[in-house]
Amino acid sequence: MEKKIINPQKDILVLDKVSKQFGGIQAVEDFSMTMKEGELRCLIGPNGAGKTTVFKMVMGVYMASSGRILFKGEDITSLKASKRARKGMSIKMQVPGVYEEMTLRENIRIAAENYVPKKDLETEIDRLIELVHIKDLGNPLVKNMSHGQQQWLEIAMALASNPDLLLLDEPAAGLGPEETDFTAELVTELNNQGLSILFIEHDMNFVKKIANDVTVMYYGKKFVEGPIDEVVNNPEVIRIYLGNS
Amino acid sequence: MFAYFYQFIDSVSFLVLAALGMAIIYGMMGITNMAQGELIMIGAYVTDLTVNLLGLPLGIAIACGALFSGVVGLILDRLVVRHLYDRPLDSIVVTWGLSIAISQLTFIIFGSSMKGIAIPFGSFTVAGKSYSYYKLMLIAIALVLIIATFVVFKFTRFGLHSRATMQNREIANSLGVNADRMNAGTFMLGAALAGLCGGLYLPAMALTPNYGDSFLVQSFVTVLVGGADPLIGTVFAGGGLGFVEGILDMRLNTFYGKIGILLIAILFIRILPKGFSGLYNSVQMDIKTRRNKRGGALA
Amino acid sequence: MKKIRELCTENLVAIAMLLFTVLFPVFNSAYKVDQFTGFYITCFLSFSIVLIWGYTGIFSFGQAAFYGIGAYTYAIVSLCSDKNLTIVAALAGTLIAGLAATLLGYFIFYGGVDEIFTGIITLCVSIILETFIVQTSGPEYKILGVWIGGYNGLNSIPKLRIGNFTLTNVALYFFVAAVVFAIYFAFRYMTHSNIGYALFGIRESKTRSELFGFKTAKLQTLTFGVSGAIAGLGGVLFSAWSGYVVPSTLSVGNSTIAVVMVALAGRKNITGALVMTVIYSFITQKLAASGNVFSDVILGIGLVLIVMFMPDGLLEELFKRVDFFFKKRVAKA
Repeated sequence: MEKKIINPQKDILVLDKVSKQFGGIQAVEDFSMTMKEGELRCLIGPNGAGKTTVFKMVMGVYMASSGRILFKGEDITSLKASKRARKGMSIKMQVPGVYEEMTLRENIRIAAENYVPKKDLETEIDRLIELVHIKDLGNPLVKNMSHGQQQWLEIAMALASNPDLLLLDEPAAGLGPEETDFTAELVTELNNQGLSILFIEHDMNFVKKIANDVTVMYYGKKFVEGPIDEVVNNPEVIRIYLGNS
Repeated sequence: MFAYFYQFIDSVSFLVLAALGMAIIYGMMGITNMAQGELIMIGAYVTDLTVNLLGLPLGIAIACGALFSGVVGLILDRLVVRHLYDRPLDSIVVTWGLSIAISQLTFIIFGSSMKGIAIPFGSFTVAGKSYSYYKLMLIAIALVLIIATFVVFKFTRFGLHSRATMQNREIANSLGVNADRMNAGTFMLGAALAGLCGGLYLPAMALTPNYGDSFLVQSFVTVLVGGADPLIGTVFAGGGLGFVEGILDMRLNTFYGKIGILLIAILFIRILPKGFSGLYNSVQMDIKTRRNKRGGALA
Repeated sequence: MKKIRELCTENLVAIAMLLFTVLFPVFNSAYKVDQFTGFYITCFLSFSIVLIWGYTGIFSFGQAAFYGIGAYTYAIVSLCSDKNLTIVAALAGTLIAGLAATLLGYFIFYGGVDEIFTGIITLCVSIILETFIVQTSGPEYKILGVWIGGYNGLNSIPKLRIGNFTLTNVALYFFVAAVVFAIYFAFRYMTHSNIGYALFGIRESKTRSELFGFKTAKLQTLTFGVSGAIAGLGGVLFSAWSGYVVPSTLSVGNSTIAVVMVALAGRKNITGALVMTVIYSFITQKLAASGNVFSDVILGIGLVLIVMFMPDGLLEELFKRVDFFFKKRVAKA
């Protein structure tokens, strides 16, 4: 992967007082957050805090009920998901969003074909498969792959568009210790190459291992934000975690 | 003027009665039952046979028809539809196959037409035109059914679970609502309502194996415009489409009534893909947000 | 999805089918050839269903409606003047059917209505269209001066003419077969192209595909339009071949038969659909002669059983099994 040239002063993602309601339920309320280029940030919070809803609003799966979303300085609040994807953001969803009835290579091919010229597709597929270490599998049907392998495949698919911002919803969920380590390594490596990454994770060891900055959500709102060491030792944060999970 | 009013309530009761069963099945199970017309037809056949062979009164016969359709629905669900809960696209094809087989079997057993039943209760005259009391009773029954649905959904455990299911099917499943039993009950209820509709309209229509087809377009369009909430959807879609259909029926003929509501439905879903149910949800949400904001300012 | 150059059962069957099609007129009477022309015309309907249902995951009851629109358009345009307008009529039929499907698709897909409603909407449109044409028996129903004829439909529709050459019998047979195989190969090529994979992605998960940057509504609408045009071309050839068109040409029943054939063959398998359509049409023609009241019951229950227990279809399953059997043999040797 080519190293991206980044400007750490520049905002890549700005959420400005974003809210979302479902029926009568306020899932996210006036949530604001700013991410700089090249940042590796984790969004944490107890279950039901609205983290996944924030992700889906950033990606355009849900439209924000109010507030603004800026990506690379451009207002994308009302753009459709496909347009946002083409502007350079990708997501790995919580439940693996892979095409189960198709093969591994077909999956990556579909993810890549909007971004890679047809003659380079096969090489690109090879590169991505190698990057996430699932080369030895051959080309199985995706539904026959293990949970961890599907997670990595989805990361590979998210990378196929060569995005500037990568959203990872629980990249380590359901993985064994070795698998988790590999995922941590992979995420760090991608970040070192200039990719801005925002991720949601419950496994605090995983978070401590890789994240620099953390934003904590609680009941749909931002609770605190700051460097990881500060936040995990914040007594309020400890209280909400212990009190709820 | 009364002629228009009469036509309007006639259209509305037809749409509501034809669509309610199907709307409940779609709203709660996410399945479109293409065999709904055949369940309507079965209700009508049982009603016809109970009156003409057993000599029982019409009211009891209609109840028998509804019950029998409900049982047929339950059997279809257990034998077939159950296997397709997570394959909604395939369930369309399969229930379509069922509908073809059922109507042809009915033809083989009972031939091309049945005796039918005369319209009871007589008629009355307004401004020189005659109208039937029976049709007025149908709108009353439609209203009673809507109120009953409301009560069931609002005040019973079944209703609570089904509303949870409608809001979010996945979450409801993960909360341990006994989805299988809920679905069987829902399908049976939907089928029984279809049978009821079939029996109720028997005095007004000729009974053939294709009897259910007369309800098909109207019930589908009502569900389409109504959306996932069987109560809100059916009431608003039935009312709105009934208005349009009533006028077109009076001005032109019933065929243009059908065309009219179909065209409106197609335009409607372009703007409001979730139908009246979706519109209702977002309006309700708006009101709540505003109320919350105002409350916040005061506090 | 098998590559077209691969050695596998599907491709061998395709070659056999091609040979059969080419050699058929050599060994059979003109009457038989004419009959088989009709079977190949039905393939257009099957192909359009493979494209929309099998590849894109949208279920439509409206394909016979587009077929009928093509048939009626050809009939009306070719009957409206004595000049040699049959080519124009054929193009018009295909195009209008395609546009009708695109327009309907626009309303369905751009709004984002629950996909399972596509079945309902197309069914309603088909029923209404058929009812409309049935009641056009009055003299006021004329298009381009041609009386639509209500229940009786249109008769004495001119044969297709290219220049001064009229396509009849064997010539028409080869013309139809050539177009069928052209579409067949286009489909086979498409399943390995970007557009093919884009459609499969949408079939498996529309939301996911949107997140990979696909304009799903646009793709679905265009595919629906193309499938309508293919069905429409079938209708054009039908009325040019049979010389008549009646309201039941565009009935839901006609769609159902095509759906059954495709389900039986394997909705994702175009080779299966081709072979099955010809075989099925042949068999039902034989059976219809004896006039069986149970045929609809069998059709309905058959559809239920296939979709429930063999969603990939009979022929697709057969291709797989045979491939597997030979692979094992080869591995042993």
